[in-house]
Amino acid sequence: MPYELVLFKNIVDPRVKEIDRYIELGGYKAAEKVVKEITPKDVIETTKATGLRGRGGAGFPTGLKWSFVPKDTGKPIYLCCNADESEPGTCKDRVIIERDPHQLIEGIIIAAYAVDCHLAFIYLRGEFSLGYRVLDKALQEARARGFLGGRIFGSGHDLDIVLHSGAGAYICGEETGLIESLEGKRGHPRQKPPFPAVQGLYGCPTVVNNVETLANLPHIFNRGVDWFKSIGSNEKNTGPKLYCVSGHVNKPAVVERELGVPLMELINEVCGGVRDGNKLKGVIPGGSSVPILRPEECDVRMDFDSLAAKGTLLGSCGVMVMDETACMVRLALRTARFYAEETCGQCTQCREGTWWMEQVLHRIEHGYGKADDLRMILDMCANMKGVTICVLSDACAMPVEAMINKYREEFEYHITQKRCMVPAHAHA
Amino acid sequence: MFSKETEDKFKHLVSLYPRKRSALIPMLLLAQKEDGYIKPAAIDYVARYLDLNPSEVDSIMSFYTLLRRRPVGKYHIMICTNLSCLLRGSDEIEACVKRELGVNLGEVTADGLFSAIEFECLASCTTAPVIQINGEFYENLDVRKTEEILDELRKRR
Ligand SMILES: Cc1cc2nc3c(=O)[nH]c(=O)nc-3n(C[C@H](O)[C@H](O)[C@H](O)COP(=O)(O)O)c2cc1C
Ligand code: SF4
Ligand code: FES
Repeated sequence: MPYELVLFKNIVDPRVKEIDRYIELGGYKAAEKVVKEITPKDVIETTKATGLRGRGGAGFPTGLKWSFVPKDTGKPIYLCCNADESEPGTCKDRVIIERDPHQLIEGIIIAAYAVDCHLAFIYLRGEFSLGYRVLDKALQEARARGFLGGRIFGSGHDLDIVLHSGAGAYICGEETGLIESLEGKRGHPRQKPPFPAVQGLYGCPTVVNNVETLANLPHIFNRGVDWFKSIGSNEKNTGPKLYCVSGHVNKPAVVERELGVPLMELINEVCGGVRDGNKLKGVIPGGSSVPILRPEECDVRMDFDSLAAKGTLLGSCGVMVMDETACMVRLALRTARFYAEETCGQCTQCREGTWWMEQVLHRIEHGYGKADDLRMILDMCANMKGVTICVLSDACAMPVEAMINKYREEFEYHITQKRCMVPAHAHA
Repeated sequence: MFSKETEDKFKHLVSLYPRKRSALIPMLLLAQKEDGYIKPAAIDYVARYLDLNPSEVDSIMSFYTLLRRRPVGKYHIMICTNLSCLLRGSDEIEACVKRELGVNLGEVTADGLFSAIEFECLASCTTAPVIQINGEFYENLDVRKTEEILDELRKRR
């Protein structure tokens, strides 16, 4: 059976950005039904029952996260939509934001109602100028209709959504970095616990959810738990999923398929195969923070647990495909450089580890590597994992470690021969 | 200090948040939009507006790469060189931009028209290589397309 699009069903319709068209296609029915007919508790229970897991990277069950919000603190409860999309290789949220903004707003309304939130924020990546204009207009349209504001849809629930622009910092995508940044500070992640659900924005209970996670909600409340669970590889990996397939494929694209589509099907059938008939060298399946897979490991389903079983992560679904012309040393260096640029600097292991890693990889790439360098980097990686305030440190160590371990001969060749194993003309 | 339009936006921004300090970064972005960069006087002004210490605002500002202290070209080019773009030839795009502008990354051309910097992933990886000019995306680039875009901007001035 061909896959039936859910999140991207209306994405090719240039008018779905407009609220009239969105409504014509069945939009805002789910939100209206939820706020008028379902109790918040049941919204949480239903979401739990679908098995929906967060699409922002960590895969935490969405309904469960909402259930951690204490209801009796007397403090306001906030919802932050994480639209900071900055993980290298990832460009799926941007498609929803720019082309089907009401799908996201409807999702936010449902989530906000579930956790008894009356003020939600969209933390939008500062580089998304078009996305800002589209969302701003869509929010105005929704307000004008009474879908936002006081007593939304004529119910007893009040909700407004503030569109907040970031200003360029990868770490503000980490949920507590996001909260700090939204408070008007540097985006320094906070020590957890306390988790944001208990103590987040302005010290109040706060839920942070990814754009794609929220976009699933209208469909869940239109079509039900069983329908949602019928999509995906198993009970723990359910629902539709967006994949950003980039790099050396013939047809790079953001595509929607079931959570758990086989990786090679994604590459060969959906994206036209490895470019120019070249040989596959490796795939980074979940954005630059996750370990690379060698070709022989690519017979795997794209879901949280199947990828974990292969020692990597689904992450943000940034699937980066490399053919035989890619130089692993160069990629490892570029990866380390990114994290060295983006570390917030609070933790010594992360601040110094990322910096050193870049330095050492730089000298290997440029022909000045020393015999002991690989051991040194691998030691550094070991010391960077599981010891810091947030996981940016791990997100640098894990992929670099995997590149060295899985393509060691290339790094050694660079060190001993002082040049690249991949012919220069073939470089990406 | 700022135009009426920007002042109105400041007022609106501050009203949106439970605590006005949350308006800090959006306000700095607006100040930058008006002046092209963030002047020391703008830092003082925004700090006073939000009851913050100017040196604190200054330090927060340095955390965010989009906030800049110096003018850039009329057309400011951000070249993505992260993995997906690297795999699709961002080296050539970077070289092309440098060649066309005749200045190094981070510098402004003598006529004030252009500046370019290297940038991290712009969330356009499936249409790599990409650049942004003044916040708008230019996707699926090659050298010829890049040259054409720059020519077009030169004509527009
Ligand atoms: C360094 C770092 C960067 C992150 N960047 C993003 C991001 O850009 N967008 C996002 O949704 N989640 C990002 N996350 C994950 C968030 O911390 C958080 O888990 C997520 O927004 C929760 O939403 P979800 O449960 O709906 O997935 C990042 C995490 C880390 C450690
Ligand atoms: S791990 Fe790195 S990015 Fe995260 S808080 Fe520590 S220093 Fe900052
Ligand atoms: S790597 Fe260039 S846009 Fe993502």
